[in-house]
Amino acid sequence: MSVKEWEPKIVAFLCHWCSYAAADLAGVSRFSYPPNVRIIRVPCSSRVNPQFVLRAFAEGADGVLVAGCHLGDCHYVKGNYYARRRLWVLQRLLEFVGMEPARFQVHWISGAEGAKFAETIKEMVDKVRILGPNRLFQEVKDICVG
Amino acid sequence: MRGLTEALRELAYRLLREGEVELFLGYSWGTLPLVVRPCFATRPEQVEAFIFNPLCLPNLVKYLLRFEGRRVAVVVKKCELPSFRQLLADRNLERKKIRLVVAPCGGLLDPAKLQKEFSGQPLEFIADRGKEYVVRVGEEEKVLAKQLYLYPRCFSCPQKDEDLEPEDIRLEFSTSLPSLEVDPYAGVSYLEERPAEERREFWDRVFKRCIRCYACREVCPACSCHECCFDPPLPGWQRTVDWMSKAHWLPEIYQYHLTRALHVAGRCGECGECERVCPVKIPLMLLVKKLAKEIQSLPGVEPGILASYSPDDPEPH
Ligand code: SF4
Ligand code: SF4
Ligand code: FES
Repeated sequence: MSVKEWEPKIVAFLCHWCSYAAADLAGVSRFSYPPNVRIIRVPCSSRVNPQFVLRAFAEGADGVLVAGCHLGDCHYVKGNYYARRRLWVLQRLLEFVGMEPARFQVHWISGAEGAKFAETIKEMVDKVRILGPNRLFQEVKDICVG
Repeated sequence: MRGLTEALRELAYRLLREGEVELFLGYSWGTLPLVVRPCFATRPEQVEAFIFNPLCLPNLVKYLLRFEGRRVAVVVKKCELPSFRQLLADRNLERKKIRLVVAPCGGLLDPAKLQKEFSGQPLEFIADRGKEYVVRVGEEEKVLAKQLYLYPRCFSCPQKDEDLEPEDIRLEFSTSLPSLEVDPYAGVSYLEERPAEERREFWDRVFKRCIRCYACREVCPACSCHECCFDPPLPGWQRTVDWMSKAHWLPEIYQYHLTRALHVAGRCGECGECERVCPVKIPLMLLVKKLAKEIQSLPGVEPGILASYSPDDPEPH
């Protein structure tokens, strides 16, 4: 395996109607944010099955972000309320098995908040960079990836 | 405790003979000493095999799925009623056709602990004296203190049998388990207070043992989906994602266990079967109890808790 400097890898599930638009706006407005994030567009934050998050970690993500519309603004009216409860429980579970809280974050970012999006990504990448590579969920990663 | 077994056989005999039920689900001795297995009787002459004693650990309610639509009587203990109700709701079973036979249970005993003591000699249970059981081993009579031999889940015995239908049967027999006042979440709280690094090492260590035999899923009354996300998609079924490989690989073991815990969250009846059947003794109840504890703190706890929400839910970070 070639020795390359480690860079945090963040998977971001963004809801189509708000947070994805925010990412778009951040781009159009030329706000810079770190390139460590891999964006996956989902119809709504409640589309994020907790298994998506677990799968991302199992596949080697160092951090996972779920972002959706502000509460009350969900395009599907109450999708993000469902997501909030579910993801809150997932956070408790991940912490229980020893994951650092900063690795899995949930944020509400509206389509007008391009700056907030860039800021959130920046902060998250910084935090994960300090934590280092995700070791929970990992074992023979080198064999599989290398 | 001979009387209890006799009463059970008599009941089964009557129900089967009079055709009130087509099948009577209970327990009989297994092939190894101190091991009890499920027993299915469809004819009155088969009832001689039935027993009931503090080694009758298995939760039989999931077998009801195999006999959907038939008239079945099933032996249950108090602690299995929540999982029965969950199964009934999840799978819309016909309650009219099911007769619960609630066995009086004064606390189960842990076969592992007994095995050490009696190295596989058969036991005969004589009496339940509240804090202890009287047993006969060979020629000798012995007293077993429940405090020492109790099966872990019985320390948090619910001690109540509510919501029965008039047709259900309560077997009368004098048994009692003094209230033990043990915090059911003691293990969870202990682990919660350890540093994150230590928790991670703990779970790494136990999950590494998992051979993904899925026994914990098979036995669980809250896991009754026709199609499970951990199985490869079958031709003819709805095509789903292949979530898991068969590799013995820690990331997927984590993924399996955390998903399983989330899937039963809010529906788990804490019957403890997952932990009992695990061949490598993974403390699975820690995970499901952790979620039960967290869920209790949510506003508006009700069945289907993860399929609903409240405007007052806590914010994830
Ligand atoms: S029963 Fe035990 S070994 Fe089997 S899948 Fe469950 S935890 Fe793993
Ligand atoms: S998760 Fe375990 S304790 Fe809960 S219902 Fe299933 S088998 Fe019983
Ligand atoms: S559509 Fe954005 S969170 Fe539901």
